[in-house]
Amino acid sequence: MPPSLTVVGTGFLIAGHSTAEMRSAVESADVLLHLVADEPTRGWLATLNPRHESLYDAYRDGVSRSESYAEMVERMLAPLAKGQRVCAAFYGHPGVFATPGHEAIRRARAVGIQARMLPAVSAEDCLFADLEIDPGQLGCQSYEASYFLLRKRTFDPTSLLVLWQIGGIGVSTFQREPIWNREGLRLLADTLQQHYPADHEVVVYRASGLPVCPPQIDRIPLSGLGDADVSIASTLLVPPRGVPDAKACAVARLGLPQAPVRGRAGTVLARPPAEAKRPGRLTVVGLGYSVAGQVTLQTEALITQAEQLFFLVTDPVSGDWLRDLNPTAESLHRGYREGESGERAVEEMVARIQDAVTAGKEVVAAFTGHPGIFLHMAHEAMAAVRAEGHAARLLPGVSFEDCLIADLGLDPAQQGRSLFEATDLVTRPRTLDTTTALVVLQPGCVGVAHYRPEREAYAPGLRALAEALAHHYPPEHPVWVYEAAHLPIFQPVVHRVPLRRLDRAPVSVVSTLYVPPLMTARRDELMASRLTATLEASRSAKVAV
Amino acid sequence: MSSNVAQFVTALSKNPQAMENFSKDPDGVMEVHDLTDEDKEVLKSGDAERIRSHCGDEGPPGCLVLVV
Repeated sequence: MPPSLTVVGTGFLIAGHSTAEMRSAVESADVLLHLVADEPTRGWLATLNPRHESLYDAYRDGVSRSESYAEMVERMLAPLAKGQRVCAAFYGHPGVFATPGHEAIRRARAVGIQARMLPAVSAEDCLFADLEIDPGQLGCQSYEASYFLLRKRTFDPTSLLVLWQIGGIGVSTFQREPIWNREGLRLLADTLQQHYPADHEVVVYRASGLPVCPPQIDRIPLSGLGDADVSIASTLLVPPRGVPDAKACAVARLGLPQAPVRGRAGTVLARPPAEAKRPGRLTVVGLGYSVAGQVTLQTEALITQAEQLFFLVTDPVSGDWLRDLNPTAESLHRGYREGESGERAVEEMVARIQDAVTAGKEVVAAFTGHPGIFLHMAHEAMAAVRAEGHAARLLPGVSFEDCLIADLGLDPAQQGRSLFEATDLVTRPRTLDTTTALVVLQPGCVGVAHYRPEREAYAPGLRALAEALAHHYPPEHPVWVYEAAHLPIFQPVVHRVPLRRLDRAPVSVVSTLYVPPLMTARRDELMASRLTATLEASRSAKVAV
Repeated sequence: MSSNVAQFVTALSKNPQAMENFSKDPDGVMEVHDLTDEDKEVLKSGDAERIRSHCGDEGPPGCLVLVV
């Protein structure tokens, strides 16, 4: 066998978030290198492949993270030169907030060695599932917290804002303390209060990573953020300040009666569910893509154990696989009828799920991708069964964006990421931060309110989207049209076109657009000096400013 | 360091039903596993950092690291 490099992720639940394709890559490697967040995960990986070695010792006190990463890259490449097949496993998604995997793949390919990244459940996937947030509903901007502060930017406070590593603001060296810069957190809180009211409710979130512990979900007013219980692994979620009014001319041009908002008003930040009073429960899960390859161990077990399984998938093979796993499996797809409104189809499918739960069954509803991301029906179904006194929960899966990150070799953390649903982007006056990567959902369905069987994009809607983007990007700016591979024998579909040709690009109803940053955000010198001042008390820390 | 605790939580991570049983009746589920009284007390604490440390955690303190 020729040498090869496969970079994989473990997710955030020891073995529970591992996918079938990930375990296969780990087991078949000549050398397994790993950087994981806990001993149980390390021990589990060792049972899959005894030829393993931890990369953790690349982190040393006082050594910058960039130096640690460079060492990891060299250690991934070294066995390739000896002709070995290397698998490198990172916690979470291997391409998110982690540069070594991308860099090692780039360098391996440069010398003709086969190298690939497999998608995995990311920290953001866990956040969306645990908080039951649909980032497609009103848009979502995501930044590393130091980068957010240190660069001059315009962002949209009427969409979700997610800030990572709020406990390590301005610090570039590895530290052992739970929080690396409390004063930096206070500076962030002050800065955010220039855009949101002091009593605006925000969430400090941390995935637990252990099945015996719940995630940390602290809902606090923004004014209390500076003194909140925060660690380096904490993430801040800031809900939208409000919903911007739709542009009447854009709505009319698309022939829509009003600007569509997916999901119920007020569910942007769902409240903790009340205790269930009746038997019967709904569990909503995601299947990832690639049929059985990207389903997690946790999800596969739930599917097998369900008393009633419903599914809605985008490929012709997964249905048979699910029926083999669980004979009760029923497709929800017949809920769609040509020309029928999307709302009507959702109502019918939710009613079928609700009937089974009301009958007292343990019901699992399985969907392609991540079940919480741009899947209006999943959120509606959970709300419906909870309203009847039943329990409901949502578990993370591998999303289309996880696949896009792995297939295109992107790290959305490098310059931040903005995500918007295409119709929302066209019909509402969004502030686009063109210094971030932009992901546009459903570009082929702009202005489509009724089910249509065609696979090709709705042409008038795609034209409107191209014109909307042209207000922010020059005509020659590149746009990637992306479709995840739905079957293991296929490759992902990727077309790179200049923006001026987007309206004629091969966009389908399941395409996603990736628009790279237009420029690097300018450094904010005043903020840099203020941030440096917050670090004066910690002389051991190398500052990132 | 307790490898038994690491194996216990790894087994739960693969099996949602066992995970649920633990949340309803932690003592009953732990009773049939080879766990010391200290292991059981740590597991019932619900403190993720404490459990990781008890497992002999070698991992980085943060889930995310980035060169800024």
